[in-house]
Amino acid sequence: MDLILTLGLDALNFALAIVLVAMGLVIIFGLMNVINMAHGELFLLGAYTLVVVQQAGGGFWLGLILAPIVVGLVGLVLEELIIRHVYRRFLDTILATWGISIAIKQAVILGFGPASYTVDAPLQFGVDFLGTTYPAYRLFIMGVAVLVILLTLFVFFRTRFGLAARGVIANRSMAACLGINTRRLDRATFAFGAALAGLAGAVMAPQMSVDPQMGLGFLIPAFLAILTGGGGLTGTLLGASLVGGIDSTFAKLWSPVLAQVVVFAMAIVVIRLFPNGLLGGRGRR
Amino acid sequence: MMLSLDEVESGYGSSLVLKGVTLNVAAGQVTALLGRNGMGKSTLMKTIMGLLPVKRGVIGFDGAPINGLRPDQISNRGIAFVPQGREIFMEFTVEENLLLGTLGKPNAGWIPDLVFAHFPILHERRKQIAGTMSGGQQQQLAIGRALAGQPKMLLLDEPSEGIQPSIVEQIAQTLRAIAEKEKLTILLVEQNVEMVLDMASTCAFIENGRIVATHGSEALRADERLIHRYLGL
Repeated sequence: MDLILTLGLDALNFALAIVLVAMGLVIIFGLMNVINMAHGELFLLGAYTLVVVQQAGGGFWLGLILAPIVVGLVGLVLEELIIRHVYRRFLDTILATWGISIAIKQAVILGFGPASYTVDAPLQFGVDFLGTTYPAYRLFIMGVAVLVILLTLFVFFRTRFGLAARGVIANRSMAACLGINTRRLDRATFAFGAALAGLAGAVMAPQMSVDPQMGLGFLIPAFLAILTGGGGLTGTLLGASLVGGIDSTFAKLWSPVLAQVVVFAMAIVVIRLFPNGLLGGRGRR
Repeated sequence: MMLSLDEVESGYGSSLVLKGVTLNVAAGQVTALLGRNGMGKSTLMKTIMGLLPVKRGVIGFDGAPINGLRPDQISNRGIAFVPQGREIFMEFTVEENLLLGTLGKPNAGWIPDLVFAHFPILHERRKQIAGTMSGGQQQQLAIGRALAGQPKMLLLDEPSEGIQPSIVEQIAQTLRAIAEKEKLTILLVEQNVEMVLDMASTCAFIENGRIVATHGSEALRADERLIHRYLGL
C-alpha cells in the first residue's frame, strides 16, 4: 500500500514537473509556431539565477522570485534581437533557437565553469501523508506546478491579453485587422514562456545538480509529453502524465535506464498510432 | 474625402495586381467597387488594410497617409474590415468574437450598444460557439465584430457570398440602416448587382487593376447597359 502511494506521488511529482517545463514551450509554439530549442537553457538560466542569488547571500525565496523575472527579461531580449527576424520561417526558428541554446550553455560554462553546483533547499522535512512520509519540498514542486497551470488558464481564458492571444493563435492576420498588435503580443508571450522556464529551473534546482547540461534532462521528456499528448494544454497534461508516470514507476521498480527505454518505446508506439498525438487537434486550446 | 487612393500599385510577391488605382470614397457614403473575378477587388481591400504592401502611390485616410502602417494600426485609425469568407473565430463564442473587435480600441472589453441594436440575434446568441451558427448569422457576426470597434469606415468584401437570398435582403437592409444612422463610410465589394444598386450611391468599376469608370447609382439604374459593359453580364 505504502509502495503504491509513494509510486503514485512520485509519478504525479514527475508529471507535474514536466508540465511546469513544457508549459512555456507549448505557449510559445501555440502562439508563434516557434519550436524553442533553447527552452532547456532558459530553464538552466533559472537555476543559475538561484545559484547567483544564494552565493550573494540572498535566500532561496528571493532567488525563486528573481529567476522568472531575470529569464523573462532574457526572453524579451532574445525575441527582439533574434527570434522576431525568423518568424514564419519554421526551420530557421529551430536552427536559430538551437544556436541560442549552444551560446547560452557555453556562456554559462565560461562564467561558472563546467562543474556542478548544489543549491540549499528549503522545506527539508517530511510530511506525514496518508500513512507514509513524503518530502515536503516535492509537495511544494507539485503545488507550484498546479499554480502555474491555474495561472496560465486564468491568463488565457479570463483576461483580455489571453483573448487576444487566442485570437492570434486562431487567425493571426484577422486578429491584426481587428486592431490587435501582434508584435507586442509575440514579445509578451515569448517573455512569459521564458519566465515560466526560468521559474521551473529555480524550482527544480534543489532536486538536481545544477550544471550546464541540466536543461536537456527536462527538455526531452517535455518534448515527448507535447508530442504524445498532441499539444495544447490538455494534450500536454495527458502526455506529461504518461511520460512522468511511466518513467518514475519503472525507475523506482527496476532501473532508470529501463525507464528511459520504456518511455521512448511508448512515445514511438503512440506517435505511430496517433501521428498527431493522442488528442491531436482536439486538445489544442 | 474619407479615403483616397492615388496611383496605388500592389500585388503578391513580384506580380502586380493593382496597376495604379485612383479612387475616392466620400465621407458618409456607400461606394461600391464592381468588376469581374480576378480584376483586383479583394487585393484592393487587402492593400487598404495593410495586409499587402503598397509598392507605389499613396493611400490617405481621414486626412493622413496610411500606407506603410501595420493592419492593427490601420484598424485603430478607424477602418474596419469584413473580409471575404467572413473569417470569424469559429471556436470562440459570439461574445468573444465581438470582444476581439474592441481590444485595440478605446472601448476595449466593452461591446457598444449599437452592435446589438442592429443585430439583436447576436445578443440572443452571445454565449453560442460562432462556428455552430448559420452562414447568414456568421455574416452578421462578422459585421457586428467590425462595428464593435466603433470605426469611421467599413470595408465589406462580398457580404452576400454563400448566404440564402432572403437573408441577403435582410443584411442589405441592416447595412443601409447602419450607414445612415451611424454616418459610416462604406466601401463595398459585391457581385450581387441588386444589392449594390440598392445600397451604393456611387459605383466604381475595376478592370485589370485600374479603375476604368465611376458612375452614380441613378445613372446605372436608368441605363442597364452601363453595368453590362463592365461586368460582361
